[in-house]
Amino acid sequence: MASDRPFIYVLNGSDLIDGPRTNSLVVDVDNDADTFHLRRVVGAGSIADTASGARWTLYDMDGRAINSDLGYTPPDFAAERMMVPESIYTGRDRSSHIRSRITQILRRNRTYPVVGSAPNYVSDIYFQGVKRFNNVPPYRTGYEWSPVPWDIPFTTAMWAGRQAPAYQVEEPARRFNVPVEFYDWDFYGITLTLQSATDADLWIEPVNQVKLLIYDSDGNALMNLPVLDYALNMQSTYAASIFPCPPITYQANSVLKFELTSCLINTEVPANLNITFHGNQRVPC
Amino acid sequence: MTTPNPTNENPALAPIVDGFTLVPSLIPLSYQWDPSAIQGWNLLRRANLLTPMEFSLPENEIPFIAPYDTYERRIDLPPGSYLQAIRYIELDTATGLTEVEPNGGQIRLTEGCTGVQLTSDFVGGAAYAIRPYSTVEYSPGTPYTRGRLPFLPLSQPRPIADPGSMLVEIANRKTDGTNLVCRLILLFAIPCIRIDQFPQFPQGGK
Repeated sequence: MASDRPFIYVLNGSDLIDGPRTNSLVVDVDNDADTFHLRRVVGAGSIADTASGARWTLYDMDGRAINSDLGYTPPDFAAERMMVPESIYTGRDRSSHIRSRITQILRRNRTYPVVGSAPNYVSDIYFQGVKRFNNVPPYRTGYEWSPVPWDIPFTTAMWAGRQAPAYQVEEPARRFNVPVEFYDWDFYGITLTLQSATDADLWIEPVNQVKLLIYDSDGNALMNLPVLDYALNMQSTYAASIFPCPPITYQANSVLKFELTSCLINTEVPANLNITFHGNQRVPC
Repeated sequence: MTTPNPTNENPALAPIVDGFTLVPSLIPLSYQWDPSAIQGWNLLRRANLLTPMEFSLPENEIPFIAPYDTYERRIDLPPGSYLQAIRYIELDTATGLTEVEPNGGQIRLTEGCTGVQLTSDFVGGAAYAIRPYSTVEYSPGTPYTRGRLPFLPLSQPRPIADPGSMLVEIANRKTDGTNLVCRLILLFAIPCIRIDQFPQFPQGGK
């Protein structure tokens, strides 16, 4: 029997240098799981200079290019890709890495209207899939149960991505906990809405404004770096985003721990972020 | 320590659930093509002895297809591969960067082993295009119709038998006599042996 843990590997492009060059971009696969099964890739367009004809190639764990001819031309370049079949990268016994190549770099960013400030980079590629643990049985609740919808809301005031007044130094991530009370709880998805200073009274979908890093009830991170809102938000109009998938279970009286990183600029604060963690309680029956 | 997993199934045998199968805009529309095709894809998605491979034709070295000309290319594949999805896009003649209405190209695919065509005749490229046509259709940061797949899946994956080849023809049938700048993207699943499945050879030495 094996067990899957949903996981997103993040290729953080914020430290790359813009310009025409051939960059080999590598994300190491953790050696805690036996294999990583890659099912979705999204965000290449946030690093690639598509207007200049940049090309992108993804390689499997043996170094075989998955795209012929260095990818294809820009309109499809930034596409959200469904990996069919899923690409397997080995972990524990023979650690591998997810390698890709981009010919022209232009990092997507959010710029402060302040002289001398540094921008918030929102340039990441997300490799979503599952970590598979062989010979690890899945968690079983110790009683007969029925699923009952139970969503956990969370609201917080947000802050700018860099520290005032110069907006050069990054504001560190802030950690939060929400309790999982009463019964075991299956975590199915996330919706995010934001009310920022530029949106008046509206609560709208944040896009490239917030990053999340989520932990399971054992304290294992479900992504190696924080992930942008559009790639997690199940109500996103921008991508087929659902996380976690497959769903995971938080044991009764545990906590859902997560970290928030802001990519808001100074004109967007004060702002309020609402996160709803959707799921089902396992109610005894 | 166990990793929580509510399915209580062996995940290697369970259907894949993710944003493509759970997308809310698709679930109520089970009679439509996309969700049905995704369900049909499920077995192929979990096929761990196959690996994805996509071809983008014409190659970069062929920037356009001249008026009334036909591009031909034989793709070599390992026998036992499957053609699973197709997408066709046309680009503006001036820059080759902006997607335009795909009305100039005609496509014919022929399986190399049997000589059987996938279609009875040349088919307009628009049949394999994804609407709407936009340069930013799928890039994060710009809305698109959520739930649209980036490729058009076949109703059944098409097996490619020995010797593992496929003839691709793209004809320029533009009525204004201009060059055709286009990309035909063919998605295959090809058999593979992963490097961790190779037999372990003994170390050399005396």
